[in-house]
Amino acid sequence: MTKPDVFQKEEHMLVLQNVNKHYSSITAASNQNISLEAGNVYALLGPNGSGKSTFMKMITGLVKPDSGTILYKGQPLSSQSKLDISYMPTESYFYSYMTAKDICKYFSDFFPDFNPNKFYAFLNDMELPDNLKAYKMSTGMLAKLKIAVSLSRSSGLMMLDEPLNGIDIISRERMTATIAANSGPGRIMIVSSHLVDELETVSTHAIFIKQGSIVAAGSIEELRNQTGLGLVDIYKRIYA
Amino acid sequence: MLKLLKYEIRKNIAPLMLFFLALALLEGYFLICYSNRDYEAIDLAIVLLVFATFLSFFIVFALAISSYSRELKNKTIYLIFMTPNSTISIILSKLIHAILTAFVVACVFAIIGIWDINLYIDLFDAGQISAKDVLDVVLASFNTSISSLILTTIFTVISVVIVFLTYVVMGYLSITISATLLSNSKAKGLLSLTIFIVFVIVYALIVNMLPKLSTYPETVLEYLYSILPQIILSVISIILMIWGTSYLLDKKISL
Repeated sequence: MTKPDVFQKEEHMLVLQNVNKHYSSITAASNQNISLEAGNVYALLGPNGSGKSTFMKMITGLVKPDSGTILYKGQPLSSQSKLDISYMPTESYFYSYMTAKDICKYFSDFFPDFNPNKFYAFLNDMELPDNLKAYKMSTGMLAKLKIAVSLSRSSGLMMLDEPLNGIDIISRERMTATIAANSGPGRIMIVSSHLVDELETVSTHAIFIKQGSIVAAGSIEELRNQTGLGLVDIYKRIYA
Repeated sequence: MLKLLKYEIRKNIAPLMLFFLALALLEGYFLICYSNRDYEAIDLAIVLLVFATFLSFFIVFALAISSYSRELKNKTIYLIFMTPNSTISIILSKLIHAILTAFVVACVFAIIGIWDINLYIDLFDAGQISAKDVLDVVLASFNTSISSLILTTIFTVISVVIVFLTYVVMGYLSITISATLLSNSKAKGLLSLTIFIVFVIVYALIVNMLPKLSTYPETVLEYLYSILPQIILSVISIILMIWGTSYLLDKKISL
């Protein structure tokens, strides 16, 4: 496998050029160059601390790169880009007083693409109450709520950071299917997880990050043809 | 920005209600003492209420600062920064909320103050004194007219708001600088306090060096005129510090 080259096609929706980010002695992003196309689901893979969350947070604007450029639909990231970017962080980020109803109101207020009907359908499907305050919810409930919020938007770029964390094994399959169902043409979906085999079933492409560097990227089919290995075995080969 | 302000109010309502509850208990104590005609206890209650009035300035300041600091620490700030709002509008919504909180608290204290003064006057069988009588006495003692008094009040309120805002923005900038330098360190609280103290000292030193436009002001308006350079400095400082906080949040800080 070789490191990916940057190739400029017009349909590249998200482009990272020479992006670097360091936290004192830790390299979170090292000369990242990659272009992502609409209509694909990218599995963002790597061990803890490899830079997956930093990758997503730089695109969302929560973390500022030390250098480099991130272009979304050909334009540098701005506050207006956030209208079309949906991000689900690993952290629980709801205000403690918020119930699911409050969260629905909040996202409806700020994001025109947020669909309250879809959100309540998710709540129903996940058996989540709409009147329980966030500080009273369990880890699993909050994890499901975060997914429900993110998938209720119809943004062009959707990023889910470890969406299957804290979700029981039975619900995980349904959650994976739900994530897959929300991908589609015109949308980039980036999903990070340690559960490589579960991601493989829903992803079209994979991006492997190691100590902040993108060490391999491409369509899963191409990676399989090149190496003769499945995604799990490629993962083991890179990180073992 | 109105939507941001709405959520600022909502998420900070609980501590404010706690403060008003404490104030209600104090006022309740005064009213009980008043109804029992316990003069010593009434005096104590009044002292406590006056003390609470001065303390409220610091409490409102602390509420504004701690809310911002808590958001940065527990990552709920993601909720605001993932919305399509500019950093400036996010900061301004917080500052407007701080001013509104201060205004509401001031109004509550004013209402309680006027009510309690009337009750206190009644204690001495001086119930014939009306609000107009009190106003006439005040105007006579200051040798001023009603229009002048209104103007003085307006300018005093504006000056107090500007001074209050200066310290709140100083607090925001201190917290932002420490979060930029020591993002996940536990020492970031201590650093932000240190930076804030340094800012306060430097600001006081600069204010001291500014010329006073009037040496011996005799009226409140003359006093306000004499500190006009300080007011202008405060306004410039507020603008610069808001810009600085916004710049750090936009370009440097990792949330």
